[in-house]
Amino acid sequence: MILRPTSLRWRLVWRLVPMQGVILTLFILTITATMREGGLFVDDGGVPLTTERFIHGLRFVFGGVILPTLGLMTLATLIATPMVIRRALASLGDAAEQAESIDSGPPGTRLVIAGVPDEIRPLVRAFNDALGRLDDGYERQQRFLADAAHELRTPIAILQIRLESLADSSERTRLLEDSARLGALAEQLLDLQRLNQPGSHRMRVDLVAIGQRVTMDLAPLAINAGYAICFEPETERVCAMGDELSLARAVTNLVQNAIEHGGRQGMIAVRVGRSGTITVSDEGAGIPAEHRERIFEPFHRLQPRPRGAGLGLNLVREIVRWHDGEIAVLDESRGASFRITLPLAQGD
Amino acid sequence: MRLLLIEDEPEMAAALASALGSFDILVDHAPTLSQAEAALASSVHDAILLDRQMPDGDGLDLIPKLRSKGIGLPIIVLTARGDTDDRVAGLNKGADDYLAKPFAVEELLARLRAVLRRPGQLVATTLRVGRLSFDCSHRSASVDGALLDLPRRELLVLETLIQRMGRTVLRAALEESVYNFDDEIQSNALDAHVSRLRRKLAEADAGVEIHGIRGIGYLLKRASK
Repeated sequence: MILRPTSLRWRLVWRLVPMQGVILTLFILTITATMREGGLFVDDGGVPLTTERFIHGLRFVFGGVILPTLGLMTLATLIATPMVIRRALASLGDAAEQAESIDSGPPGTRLVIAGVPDEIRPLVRAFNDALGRLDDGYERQQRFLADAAHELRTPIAILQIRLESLADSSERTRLLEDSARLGALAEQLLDLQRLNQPGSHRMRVDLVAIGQRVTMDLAPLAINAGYAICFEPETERVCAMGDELSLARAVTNLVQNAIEHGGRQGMIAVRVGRSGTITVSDEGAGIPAEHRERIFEPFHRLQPRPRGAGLGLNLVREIVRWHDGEIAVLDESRGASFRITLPLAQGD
Repeated sequence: MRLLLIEDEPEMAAALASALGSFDILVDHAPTLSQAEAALASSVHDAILLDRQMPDGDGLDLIPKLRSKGIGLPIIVLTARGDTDDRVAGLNKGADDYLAKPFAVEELLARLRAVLRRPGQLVATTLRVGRLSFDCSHRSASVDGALLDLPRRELLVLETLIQRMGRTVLRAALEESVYNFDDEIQSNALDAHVSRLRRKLAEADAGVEIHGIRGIGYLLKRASK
């Protein structure tokens, strides 16, 4: 055990020991003065009190009584203080452990105040109050995100309807793709917000059904953009544990990404593997190896271009991570291939 | 066909009315629930499109009210909320279908056709894509007024595809509409029907395309220029 100048132990010892010294000195001086006044010093053979004898007495008092006693008391203080403090602070260990476990996850954690010494309670209370304020802020932010995403739905819906009313043209096709991406982004923000709420949990989902539905929903967009699109499940059912809506949205995002970057020709393929994988491939220019790591970072884009938010792939990764899954860019000779791997559900 | 659109957002109502207008669907707009009830008293509508967030209450609360008055019109709920719980709540209240915003107009049309096709709601409609017309009540197809001579199963395929035009139709749904339970379906029989139909439509210059989506089904859309 080291006594650092900032430790509580050091501060206690540092103040207690001199204080004890002063009290002890005063105490003994008072006693000797009382004894002298009472004539106790002159009793010894009637010799009067000389300066020499007084100094001798003082020496005796300080050297023989005060200093050894003070030494003993210092030793006792040094031993006792850490023990007392350790006992008193033991209850803080729990609080520290709790504080340790607080992360950016769901709010609501507070430090336990029971057992904490009175002197330290104000600190713990203040800390809990601060946590409360942070939680409020977090909730406000989450609510804002949800409200904003909800609010976006109506204008996106209006946009979509207006675009659909336009005469057929390649411009209309592209605008419809953009509005679909916009819609998917808003939905993914809502997904993440929903998944980060306490009480959201995973259920048994069929990846084949998810892949089929997404392919079916996006086939018109893909075909209008000039692609052929296909769905290739390796088997009839592949069960994983997850949240169906957000997984479907993640795959939707990958297909939309393929539609945007696949070069407007060739095949977009959605494949489901029996080992819990969903792969979305296109036959476009592909993704250079040096970009494959960074492509999932928010706002990363292969080339600066006005379209796309640069947030889509990041949201896909966030959703896959929530599922304890992985997403990777496969090393393909042509085109880009994204693979989501999810833990399989037990008992299949 | 005439619809009552119950929707508080004027922009949304205007966009939807004009989009549906191009499909010969007349849209009356009610910006509040009370105006909707008044409009429904005239009983000229074929179906209701209902938004949930209305200034004078939750749109869903209107459904039991209408049903208790004996108004059995099909109701499709359109909502910006669209969570799964929300959807279940809507259907539990007696809505016929539920569509989350944003949605494709073609999707809305397909859902409308589906709810109108239910017993008691038979409505004759002619569907048009490109230069092709399909008369649902007589189940006949024509290009620029000239009747196409198609065998029954090809007509059934075309009917199913055209009712969801612009959207994907699952292979299973097509097979279901073409074959009876006791028909023995050969694995490539449907593909054969589709490819014959595709060829005939091209020969008649119908201005439509049928796209195959491997592993999913088919899609019929207007031919791109």
